[in-house]
This record gives sequence, structure tokens and C-alpha cells, in this order.
Amino acid sequence: MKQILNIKIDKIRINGTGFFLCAIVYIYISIFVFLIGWMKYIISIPTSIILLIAIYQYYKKFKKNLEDVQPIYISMKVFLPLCFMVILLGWILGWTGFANQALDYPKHNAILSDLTNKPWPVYYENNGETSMLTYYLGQYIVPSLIGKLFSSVNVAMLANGIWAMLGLLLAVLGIFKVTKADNSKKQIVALGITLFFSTCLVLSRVLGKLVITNLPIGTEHWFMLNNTYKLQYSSNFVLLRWVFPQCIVPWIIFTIFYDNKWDIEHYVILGLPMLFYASFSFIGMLCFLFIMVIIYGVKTKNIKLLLKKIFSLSNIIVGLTLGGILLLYFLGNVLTEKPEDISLQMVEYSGSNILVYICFILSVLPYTFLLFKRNKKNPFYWIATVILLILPFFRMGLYNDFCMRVSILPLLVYTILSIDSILYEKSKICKGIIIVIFLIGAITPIEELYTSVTNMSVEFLAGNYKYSLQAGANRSLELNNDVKYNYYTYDLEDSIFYQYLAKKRMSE
Amino acid sequence: MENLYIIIPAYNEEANIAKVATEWHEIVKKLGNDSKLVIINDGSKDSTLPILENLQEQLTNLVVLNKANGGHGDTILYGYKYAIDHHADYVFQTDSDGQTLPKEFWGFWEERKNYNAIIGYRKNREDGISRVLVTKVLKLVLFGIFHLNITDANTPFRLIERETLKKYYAMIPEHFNLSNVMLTVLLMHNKEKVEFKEITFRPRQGGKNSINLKKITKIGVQAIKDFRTINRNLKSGVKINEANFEH
Repeated sequence: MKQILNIKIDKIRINGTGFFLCAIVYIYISIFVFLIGWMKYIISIPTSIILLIAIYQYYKKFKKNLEDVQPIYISMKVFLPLCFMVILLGWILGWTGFANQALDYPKHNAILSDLTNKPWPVYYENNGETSMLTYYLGQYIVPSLIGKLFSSVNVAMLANGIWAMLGLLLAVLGIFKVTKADNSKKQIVALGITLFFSTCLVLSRVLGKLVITNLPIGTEHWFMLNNTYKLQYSSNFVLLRWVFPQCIVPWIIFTIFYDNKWDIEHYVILGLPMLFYASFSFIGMLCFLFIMVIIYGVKTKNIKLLLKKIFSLSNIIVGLTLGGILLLYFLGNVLTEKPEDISLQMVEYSGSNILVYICFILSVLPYTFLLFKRNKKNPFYWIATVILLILPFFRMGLYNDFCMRVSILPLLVYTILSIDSILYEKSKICKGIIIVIFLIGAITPIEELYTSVTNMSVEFLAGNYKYSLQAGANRSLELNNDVKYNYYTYDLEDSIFYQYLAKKRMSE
Repeated sequence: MENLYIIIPAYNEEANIAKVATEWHEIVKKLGNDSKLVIINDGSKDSTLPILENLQEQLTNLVVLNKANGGHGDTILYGYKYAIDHHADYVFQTDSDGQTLPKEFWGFWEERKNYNAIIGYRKNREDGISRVLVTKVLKLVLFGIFHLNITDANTPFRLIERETLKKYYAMIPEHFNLSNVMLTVLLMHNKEKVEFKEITFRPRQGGKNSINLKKITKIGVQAIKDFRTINRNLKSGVKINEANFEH
């Protein structure tokens, strides 16, 4: 360990292998806890052993490629404030429950609370309907295990915050690595841009106000006309405040992928865990993986080689074991018949409504144009741009979470490329314009920061602790469709995961 | 039969790498299956790695290594270490931009028994006045610091006998930017049998050079500081790779 994170007095040395090892442990530990905690041992133990071997083999390959190669040094003058900032953020964003939380938190708290208080797997009985908690548990499962050990949701909440802080620290280090921020000045710039990067929503608001009638703007980070047009590309800060379980691990995974884009043999072992943390971010990741495979095929013109890489032992084994299990787990919820308003739909921009699309996309285009020159040959730039341009044509979920969450990784690419431009662009004019655009974009996250720090009361929290998903676990109840349909597997007798893989209810 | 490992670092060389790899592979192929062409992808952003992986299917003696980006000197050291670890008898290093001619290798190979190292000498550089200037400045700097009159210390066309390389590789600081310059200095300082042999040095055959004049200046300034430290250590007998270097 000393060789991996060689801690000296004045600076910390982080090499590629050390970062990779910490990241992969962080990502996979939740999966192992889930496997052992939720599934029959006859399935979970062999699966865990297979996964451990696959991870070890992956690590060995990584070590061979990256050992002793140009480590990143972080001065204590940067590292200590970075740690302090991460802790401060975790506090003011409500991760630990010691400060006001965003309105989305009842969901986070309820999942954490149920995972802590109830036996695993978590089953609900409500007015004769039996269901199983089926959600993206990646963020919550380790903290809830710690909460279980102390029989305390408070402890789980604290552990949840600390766990997220560790993840954010790793994500920031990953961004330092991919942007080659190898000195204090670069690291401070990279950190600032990472935290406050946003599309230029302000420009969209201004234009929208001029050309669209009845556009309710100026109070939220949404771009929303009516129930049909709910568009949002969240700033990184907004993501951290509202959906941190869905953004931190995708960021970590993507920073590894960014430097290893041609490692097709390990796409599954690297990318698949994201599904357990954030399904819509995973869809974004799939787009990147898919296009990189196509580019590889086009560049090599060697289908045999491409197939050999796609169907590598690692991809097959991890895909069949972990992929199969996660698929069967989530299918219980996905296959449930759902109302139209939360299903995937195409959005049509007919007539004057095309202005909604144009105004919204205006928030992205300044970056698209400014980053073009340095990145016209960079596939990540093109994939991110295409995703950001077409996402507004889809909607899914009561608040169109699809648009916002699939955009997490394309926006991370824009963040990385913006850091790259600000650090390394030779033209001072170009660099200056990017900085101005960044500052305009940063207005939204600063608004969010202002909301966070001016509303630190914890009064909201008391109610959250009492919150449980128990109350919503019945399809016949008159409840918000988001609550009824997004967290449960009903009809357990039809679920392969429940029938063959999961531990059974205590009553059985 | 003696084997040869040809070490080629590659960074963003999708325009050149297939041609360069194919040409140099013919050399190792002629020397038998124990000889290898080792191309190290230095974290290229472009398609250098897929192209190399594809070539690996056709070129049986090609070894492709992939590492995170660490710079030219660092990548050369990575390749030297690989060759030493794999028991190469001779190690030859060149670059992936197609500026050197594979046919000129045989003149070096024929004389290998007579010297510890044979290093190319770029009498007529065809890759621009700025590069010629850099070579001249480097020569002056090395003379000023080490009092060594080295014809061309940084040529990416050099054949070195294994034990010699092993001895001096261990003395080069980790991740050193100008590893070939350092190697030449150590060979000359220790009065090894080194021959400088004239070679053709063409303009880059495709793609863009990733090192511009600003970078060269930055590397140069850092190198001067490092050279002075190294020189002090050489004189005082301190192992130079144990000295502190800023990178």
C-alpha cells in the first residue's frame, strides 16, 4: 500500500495503479455486499469468487501497463484543502444529514433507512401486495451495512456522507489524472472547473424569455415549458446536491475509461458496475462504449480481432455472472407495466415549439464550438456532442430524469475538455472566451450553492428519518406514479431473481 | 544466434505507425524469431493502439506495449527495461515518425562487435532549422556542463549491447525526459567504446510533431538544471538515480 500511495510529508504521490486499485475497490465493494447480502449463498459465493479473479486479472493487466509511469503529485497545500472542501461539500449538500437536504432526499433517506432497518433482501407487505425493493442500491448498500452493525439510521446517514465524500475525492483525483493536472496551479484550476462547470443555462433563459411565451424561467435549473418539455442538463454542482448517488461512481468509472478507451477486453468489468449505481448514466456509458467499438473496427478493419476483444474471457464471464444477476434484478421493476407518463417517449418539437429545443441547446452550443478546434479528432468530443444534441428528443420519468442523467457523462467530457482547453490552449483569445463562457455557465451552480448555504436548517430532516418506501409499495394506492413504479418488484412469483436467486422472506 | 530488440516509442502516430512498423519488422524478422520489434504506445489519444493491435496479427515478431502517457524519454526507458528483462542481446532504438531509414541499420549491425554502442549522427537534418538549432544548443550545453564533445547526443538511432545498456539504464533517473541524451553522456563520461555513424534524417513522414519549440525550451531549461545536478553527482560519486530531480 505504501508503494501505491506513497505518503510523504509535503506531497502525495498517486500513480495510475494506485488510483485504479482504490477506484475499483470503491466501485465493487457495494456489489460484493449486495451479492452476499441479497442472494442465496450458493449463487453469491461462486459469483463473488469469479468476480474477484476477474478483477485481479484486470488489475494485473493495469499494473503491467501503468506501474511507475508518471505519477501525479499532489502537494499537501492542495490535498488538505481538497479534503476539507469535500467534507464541507458533503456537509452543506446534506449528504451526512447534518444540513438541509435537496427535495429529492426523502427518496435517498427512505432507501437508506429501509436498507438499515429491514432484513435483506428488503421486502414490503402493504395491503396484501408484496414487493421487493428494486433500485440502484450502489451508493446506499455499504453505508446501510454500517448502519445495521450499529442498529442506527443516524450512523448509516453519516456513513453515507463519508462514503460519498471518499467517492468524490476519487473522482476529483481521476479528473486530475485525465487532465494531467500535475502541479498545484493546474489542480486548483481543474478542481474549480469540475465543481462549477455547467452549460450556459443563463443564455437559454434569456433567449427563452424573449422568444417563448409563458416560459416559467429564472427560479430553477430546469428548462421547462409544460409537462411535455422538461429539459435539464444539470451542472456538476447540482448533480452533487440532487443526485450524488448517480453521478459520483459514473465519474470515477469514466475517468478510468477515458485513459483506456481501447481496452475493449475489459469494457464489461469496468462499465457494468455503473448499472448498479445509475441506470441512466449507464445508458450514456453504453453509447460511449458502443461507438468506441465501432471506431476500433473501422480503424483496424479486422472483424476477427474486434470480435476477439468483444468476446474476451473477462467480458463473457463478468457479463454472464454480474450482468445476468443485475439484469434479472432490475427486470423485476423494468418489466412492470407502467403508466405512459413515466415510460420512454419521443418528444416532438412541432411548430413554434422548436424554439424550446433551440433555446435549450443554446446552453450547450458555446462549448461545442469552442472545444471543436482542439478536439475535432477526439471521439469523446463527438460522442458527447451528439448525445447532448439528441437527448432532448427523448423523455422518461415524471421529471424527465432520462435527459438529465444520461447527460451526466457527456457533460463530464465537456468538463474535462474545458479544463484541458483552459490549462493548455495556446491562443489566449480562445482561452479567454472559454473562461468567460465557463463563468456565465457557473451562474447556475453558484445559485445552487447559494440556496444550499442559505438554507442550512435541518428541520426537513426529522421527517425524512421516518420516511420509508413501505407506504408506497402497493399499486392500488392513490400515489405519485414515480413512487409506485420506480422502486419495487411486484408479482414476485414471476420474478426469476426472486424465485431462484434471492434469499427468501423470513416468513417462508 | 544473437537477438535484437528494436524499441520504438509511439505517441499519436496513426498516420505513420503502420508503415514504420512494417519496415522495421522486416529487420527483426531477418534476425530470427528471438528478435522482436517492440512498439510502446505512450497513451496516444488517436488510433495508434488499434492500428498496432491489428498489425500484431500480421507481424509475428511485433510486440505492442501500452502505457499511460509519460513522454518520449520515459517511454524509451520503459522499452529499454522491457528489452533488458527479456534478455535482449542488443537493443536498437528509433522513433515512430519515419524520419530514419531502416536500411541504414545493417551498417550498425555489422559493426556491433567492435563497440559498446553505435549512435547515429545527423549531419544533415532535414526536419527544419529549429531542430538543427536545438541539436547545436544541446551540444554546447553538454560541453559546458560535462566538458564532453558529443557529436549528436539525442539521435533516435542507436544500437547498444545489452550489458552496457543494463549498466547505464540503472543510472538514469526515473521518468527522465532526455533519457537518450543522458545515456550518451554516461557512455562518453565512462569512456565506453562508442561510435558515431552518419545517418540520413528525413522530415517527418506524416502526422504532427507533438513537441513544439515551447515544449523543447521548457524541457531544455529543466534538463540544464538536471544535468548540473547529475554532473555534480558524477564528480562526487553519488549514484545519480538516487539524487532528487524535479519533474
